[in-house]
Amino acid sequence: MEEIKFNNLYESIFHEKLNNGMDVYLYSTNKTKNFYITVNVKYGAEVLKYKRTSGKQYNEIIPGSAHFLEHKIMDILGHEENFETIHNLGSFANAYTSYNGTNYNLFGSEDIIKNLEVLLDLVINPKITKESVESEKSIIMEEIDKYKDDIFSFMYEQIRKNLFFKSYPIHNVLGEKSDIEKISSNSLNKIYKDFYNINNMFIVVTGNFNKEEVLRFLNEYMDKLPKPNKFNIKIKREKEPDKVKVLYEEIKKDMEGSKVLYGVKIPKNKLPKMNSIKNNYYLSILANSMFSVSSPLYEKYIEEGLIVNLTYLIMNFDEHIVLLIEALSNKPSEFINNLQKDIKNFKIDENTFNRKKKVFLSNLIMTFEDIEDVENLITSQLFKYNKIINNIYNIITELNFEDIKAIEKSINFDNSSILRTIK
Amino acid sequence: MEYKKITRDSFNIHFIKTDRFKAVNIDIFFTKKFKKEDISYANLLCKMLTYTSKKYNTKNKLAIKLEELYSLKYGSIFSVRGNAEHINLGIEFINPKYTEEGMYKESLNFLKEVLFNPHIEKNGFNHKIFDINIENLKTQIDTLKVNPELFSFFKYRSIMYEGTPTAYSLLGTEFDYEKINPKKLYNFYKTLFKDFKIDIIVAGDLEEREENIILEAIEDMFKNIKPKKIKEIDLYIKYKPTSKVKEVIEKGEFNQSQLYMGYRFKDINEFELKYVLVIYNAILSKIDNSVLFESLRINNYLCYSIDSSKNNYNTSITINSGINKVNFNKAVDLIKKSIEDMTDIKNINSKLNVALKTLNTIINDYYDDVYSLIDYYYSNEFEALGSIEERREKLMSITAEDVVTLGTKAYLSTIYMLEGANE
Repeated sequence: MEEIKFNNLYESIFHEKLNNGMDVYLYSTNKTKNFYITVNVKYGAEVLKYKRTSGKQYNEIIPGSAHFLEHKIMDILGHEENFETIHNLGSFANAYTSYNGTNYNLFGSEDIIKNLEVLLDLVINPKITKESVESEKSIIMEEIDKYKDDIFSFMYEQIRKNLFFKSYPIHNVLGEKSDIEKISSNSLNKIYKDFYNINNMFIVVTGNFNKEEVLRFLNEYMDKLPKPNKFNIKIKREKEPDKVKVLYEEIKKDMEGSKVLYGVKIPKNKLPKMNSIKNNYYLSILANSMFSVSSPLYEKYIEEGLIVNLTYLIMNFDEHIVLLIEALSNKPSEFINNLQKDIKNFKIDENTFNRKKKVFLSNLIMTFEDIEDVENLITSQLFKYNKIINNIYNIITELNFEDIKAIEKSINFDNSSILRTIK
Repeated sequence: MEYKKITRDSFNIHFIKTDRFKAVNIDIFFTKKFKKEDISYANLLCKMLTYTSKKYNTKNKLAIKLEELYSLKYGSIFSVRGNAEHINLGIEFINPKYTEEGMYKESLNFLKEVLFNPHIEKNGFNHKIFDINIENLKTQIDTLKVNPELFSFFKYRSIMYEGTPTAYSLLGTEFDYEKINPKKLYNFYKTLFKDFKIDIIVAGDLEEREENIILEAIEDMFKNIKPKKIKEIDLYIKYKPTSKVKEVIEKGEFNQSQLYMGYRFKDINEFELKYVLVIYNAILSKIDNSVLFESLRINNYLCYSIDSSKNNYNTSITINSGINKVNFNKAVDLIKKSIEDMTDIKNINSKLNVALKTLNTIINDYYDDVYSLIDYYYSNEFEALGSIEERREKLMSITAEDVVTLGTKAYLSTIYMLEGANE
């Protein structure tokens, strides 16, 4: 077992490669009585075209398929016994799909081995029949309606469509109702065979458990499985232009204030060449300095009555990063005009930079407070970087002011798309 | 984990000593009997106290101070619990053993500043900050219209709990805010220290030395405070059972319909209310194979999710789900049938063990979530819940007969649907 120490945080996780090649990450602590188990597949909604490397033609994936497959794998019908076991253990089963991957999880406190076994059984032995796929469609459509009714998720979805021409963010993780109609048991079974491959999966266990016992069981379980076919997958990604597709759009909504989204599309190759993790931290610090409550811009907009609230989000998509600024405004046109000018003139100062480093360090320390947060740290790093970044503390403390100035200079804030509501 | 309570003339201080957390939380609760007029005052006061203070006289300065204190979290919220209202103001800071020794003193000084040195000018709150917060609240109230989940939730509560504290939206109304001015709000602020019961709950990895630092600082803060003796508050709201069912259906410009059904219980005793209702609700909707989930989602594909929540103070259960409007009658019938099924001993017996085990996991989670722990000990001040382990023991003793007996006491009180006009 390889110990991966998180420097300066006095925390470690353990990594082991099972006999069949699957990676397992363990964070064991007796500070809690519960445990959290996840089986993860490095396949998410970002994959729209792929082929086995030995194959000739690319297969197209219907948007929403990764999420649909997740529903079918966690479907009670066909897995009544597995779910009865989960229920009898008093555990909670759940799953989620993102652009980068799919996560199946169990949260419990009794008999971790039985929990592991049942979760693996569900993921490794799915029952995706024509009938069950057809019945699931109405449930997924209700889920789509739920998100479409939420003004904020609806606008996030729309601005991605306005920022991108061809790349995967133009599709929702859930897909559209018209996509769902087209999905079949055949298409889902094919995706399953190609992506739910031991070499493309990993397990994370956090909480109160015995590491040796868990590893012993996992090896025994995996040894009983047929040897996996070894093949590689080639994913075809659309070449996405650097410019934005739609500069400005208004959406009608019956509300007095206006919700404004301002998205800046940043090509990664235009940023100074440095480690991508550092780049992400610099961008986060820059955005935080510009748009958090402690920023001078926030203060100015509040003072002038331009905003009710202001926040930001950074999203990573293939070759582009999106800085998304979100505001609720009673004077949206004036706010947008000001923002367009101010964002270009903003200059971060060294005091602010050092203060923000403290904030990011504090957030990092707090990650290890909760076993679900630790799992999320591990899983998101593996989905995003395919490795564990254990020196985050040092990365943050070593960030320097010159580099962030260079990043700030390299961004073209005019490469943006605006989406707002009007009454 | 160790708990102790220290009583002083003007406040009680509760220490929860646990090495589970890397942060220290200090929460101050001001409690009194509910008064409708207080909603807008208390809500606005929470906003004002977290916006500025005399020393940190802009939102920006206050936010910068929080970042300097290693991202100290500071918040304030107004809530209603049965017949009582409370204002909670709290800070959370990283245990100084991970940052700097002086952070105890710095964090406590910050708490003193924001609570005891508000942004007052000419015997009233600062006008400009007052106006900003009033505008923000009005915008928030208006935004509710485009949020079907929140809008329908508040509307349902106003029907189901008409004439009680639970019926009111905790955001207040625009009309109520028109009646407040900075001086009146300052007068309301002063009542915090006269008319409210004060409880301070401290949770964290604290040795005697640290406890004493906090106790001395709190004693110093409250040395001039002399609150009136507060009469004991009976949190439970009394109802006369009636066979009349309120049914309201209205339309909204949404894709999905929001269905709510409210049930009350007649002649419920204290044991049923405190313990049996928890298990009843778990079997109805909280466990993975709950009665409602099996009926509406698994067997009839009517919804993505269905939930029920208990309200002890109103002796009620609320069931809600997002559905397609064409399924209204079917969903209502299935929910009624599910409530009937809660009186079937065979059915309850088949799920009781799962519910008990699930609750066992949830109770374990109390020790992992500082906010649940704080809330538990605050509630204990009014409801004599006993220790968490005593509560676990009582819950684990509940039988299927107890659940069925409670089930026979349920009667339908309200049906509300916000019908999606765009379906």
